[in-house]
Amino acid sequence: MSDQIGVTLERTAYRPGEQLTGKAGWQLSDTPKKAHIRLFWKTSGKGTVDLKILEDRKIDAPQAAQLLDFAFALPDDPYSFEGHLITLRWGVEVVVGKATDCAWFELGPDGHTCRIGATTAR
Amino acid sequence: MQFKHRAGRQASGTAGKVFTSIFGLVFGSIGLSFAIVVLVGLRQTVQMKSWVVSDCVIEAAEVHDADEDYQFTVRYRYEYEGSRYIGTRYTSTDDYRFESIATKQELLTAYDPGTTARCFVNPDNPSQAVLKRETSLLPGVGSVLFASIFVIIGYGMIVVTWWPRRPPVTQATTETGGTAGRRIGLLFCSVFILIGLVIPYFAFVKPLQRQRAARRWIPVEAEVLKSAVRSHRGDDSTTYSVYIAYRYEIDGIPYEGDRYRFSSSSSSGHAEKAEIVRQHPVGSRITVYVDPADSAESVVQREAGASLYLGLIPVVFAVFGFLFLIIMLRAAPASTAGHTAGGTMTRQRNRAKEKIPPAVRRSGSRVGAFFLMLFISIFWNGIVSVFLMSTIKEWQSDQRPVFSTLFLTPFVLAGLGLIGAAFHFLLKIFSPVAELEPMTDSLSLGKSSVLRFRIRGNVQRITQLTITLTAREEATYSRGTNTYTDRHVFLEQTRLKTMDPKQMASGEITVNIPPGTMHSFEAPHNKIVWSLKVSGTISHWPDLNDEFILNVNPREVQS
Repeated sequence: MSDQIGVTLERTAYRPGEQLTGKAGWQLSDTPKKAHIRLFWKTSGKGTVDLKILEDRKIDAPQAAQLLDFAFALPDDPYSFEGHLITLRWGVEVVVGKATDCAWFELGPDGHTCRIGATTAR
Repeated sequence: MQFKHRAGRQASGTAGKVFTSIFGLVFGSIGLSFAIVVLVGLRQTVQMKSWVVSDCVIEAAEVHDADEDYQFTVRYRYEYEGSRYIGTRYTSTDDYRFESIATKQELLTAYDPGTTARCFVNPDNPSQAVLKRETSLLPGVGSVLFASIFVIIGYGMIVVTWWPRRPPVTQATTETGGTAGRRIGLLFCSVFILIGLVIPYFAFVKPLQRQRAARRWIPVEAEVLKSAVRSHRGDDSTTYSVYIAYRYEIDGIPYEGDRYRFSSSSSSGHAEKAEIVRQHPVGSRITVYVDPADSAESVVQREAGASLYLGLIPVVFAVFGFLFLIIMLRAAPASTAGHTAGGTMTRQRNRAKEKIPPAVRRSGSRVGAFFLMLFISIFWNGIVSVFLMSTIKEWQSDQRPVFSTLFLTPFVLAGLGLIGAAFHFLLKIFSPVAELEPMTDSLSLGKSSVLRFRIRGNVQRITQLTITLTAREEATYSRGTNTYTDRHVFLEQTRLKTMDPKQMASGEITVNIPPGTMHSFEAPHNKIVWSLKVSGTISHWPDLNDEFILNVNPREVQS
């Protein structure tokens, strides 16, 4: 049996300060030694990747097959954004042994990614 | 919920993997080859430990002048299990050579013909014997460990490249404010500081101490035994040093020495060393200075000369190390990561307590920019001047170093450019200065704020003043060993443009931060920077170009 793992979020768009909820589950051939659920943001684009883990929750005594709910209180910033050089995305990742899955979501005042590509001159 | 299969490898460029593997293979193989050579030597050392100690009688022992060093030849007879043998090896190598005349005296004293000495006989082949055997395994083991680093890194790269495992997103890169980069940085700075302090200690401080102590040494007449320019071949070039061996007598006892100066460093430039050697031919009488406390300690030149100060050059490394260390320690604090047990699901907050930056702060310092440019200019020109002086001397001594002159020219021009830049920054210190009053309120997306400014200094010199609100992305990345930062301005608003000196002297500007854009953001390699740029055109003088970084907060939430 091949290892299976997954993480899903109730929504994919959130406002600052809101509560993020979701489910994480896995079905592995062996009992894992450790499991984590992480809330993080990560940049991509031209620059070297920056990453910040805001919460790292350790699952005590993880089972070979398990399904659990989680919730994170989201901070006010940084917003998800897409620029000419930089993109910042928020995500929740589940890591169980060597298996891993990630779900992405948007954080912004309107619940959407801020797009800042255009130059404004006045 | 529906699970996703995640056992597979993340796809990446095969060409890159092949290239990495080839690089790792070459890197690891170099280390492995070196380790094998050292291990073969170690095996011989271990084998020689089992050689049997036996008495031998020295029949002949001589030290010959080789081209630039000395060669020791010896002949001795020994007995092993009733059979007689003749040995000619001092160590495991056939041809034993050395540089110091002190070694010559030690060998001739220890192996005086007719005396009995100790030799080591190979019990498996008694015709093999040596007078000196290597017994310490430490240098060899150290070399093997050093080579192992190359082997592990090289072959480790291949394993990591092809290992079938997809790393978690949060482990695929360096975490912002993580400690790994900080540790590497600390190590880097420590190595720089260590090099910058240890080398000058041995190359400058110690010779200087000996030079001062030698002022009390007594002058004694000596006869030159050997006089030569010794060459030392490096990876890129050959350097030279003066070698003069001499004999002198104290209270009827003969001594030999070969110390020309306390600083024994070699350098480029053959002509001046050849001239010194020419002035000290073999058989000539010279004055040497002898330590009254130890007559075996002597020197030809008590003064170390200007070359002693070259030993201070590595101090620059220590200065750079300290500068990098200060910059690093002043950078953003590291976030903490850890786990706490308890409950079904353990919560661990990883956010470090973040400093709230002021709403407005000046970007850079004119005095700081000047001193930085001055430091770079002195560092660059200091190094270039060493080679430049050497080349000038070669021209003065009727040599024609055309190639080195052509090679040096762009470096000299760059040095002149740096001096010009330092002068430009010096003038800029005396340009009018823009100032913004500290704000009592914070700047936020979708909010208008009024900022008061004033220009300090002679405003009359400014022909036009412009104040611009800008927002830009800054992305920093590495290519090879270089680091680049790309910038893209995504918002630009001219808030003031005037040629009226009264309006320039002081005033107010309104800053409107659009609601649908991005707030200030700062990570180690990626930034969103909001700023006010104050530009003033000044005739025949560096222009006024001051920038103030604005801290724009996320949109304020109405409670």
